[in-house]
Amino acid sequence: MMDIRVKNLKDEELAAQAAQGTIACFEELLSRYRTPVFRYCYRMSGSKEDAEDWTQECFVKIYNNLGKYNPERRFSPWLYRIVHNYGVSVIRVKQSHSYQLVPDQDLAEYPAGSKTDAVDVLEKKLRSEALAEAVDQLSPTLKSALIIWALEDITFKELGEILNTPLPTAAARVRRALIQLRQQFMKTEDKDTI
Amino acid sequence: MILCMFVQPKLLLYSSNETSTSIKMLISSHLRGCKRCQQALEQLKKTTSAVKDFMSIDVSPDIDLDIRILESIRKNSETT
Repeated sequence: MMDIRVKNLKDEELAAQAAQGTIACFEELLSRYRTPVFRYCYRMSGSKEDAEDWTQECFVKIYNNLGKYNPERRFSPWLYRIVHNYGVSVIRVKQSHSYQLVPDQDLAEYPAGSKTDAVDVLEKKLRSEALAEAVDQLSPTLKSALIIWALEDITFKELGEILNTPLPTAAARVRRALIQLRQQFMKTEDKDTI
Repeated sequence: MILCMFVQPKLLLYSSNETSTSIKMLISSHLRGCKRCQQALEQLKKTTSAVKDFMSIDVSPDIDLDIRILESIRKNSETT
């Protein structure tokens, strides 16, 4: 009965009750946001292990800060702001070291097909690697803004709420990231590919 | 050319339909006669689509991640 009631609550109501100590409400928020936060962390960190650790850290921060959340405001931008701030700060620390690119599927994982299929798969893999490399060249702030925007398919107004910037600034960051990616990507790829 | 410098930084907002009506009309009208800006918009759309495609990965965390998170929160609360 409790489960059904909790599942019907809005994020904002869940967060308000979780802040009062109702752990079932926090568990429901966790189940709603675990995968999106993990995917963001995966693209930011470049490895599944790191992404799981980062996701864990993010949720601990979210939980610890629930008392500061204002339920009159939307929960999702508030959550992503914590995740964004965490991702940017960790990447800044990590930037002095080189880190692994997100590995993509090996050719062997694809079902056997014609030669053309294999060439298509190889081209896709190379493009994906080049793009991963280009994404890693972005500054932490641009990278994080781009990942949130691209993964969540949100508007620039919403992105601005997350980044705590006006809409034009949020859009300018994504635009700058896209331009840099294009320039970087074109060093290794055919001009017409992207 | 001056109009191009005004239009191009706004193409991303224009393509995601997040400009005001008056700016949208101005950009649409400019695009009809400007090959340069048409190409810029096309490139932007291609890059956006490639990036969104690249980002849309189907990865999920391990099943026990929730347990780890809740355990970590519990431990944290005990120490504070």
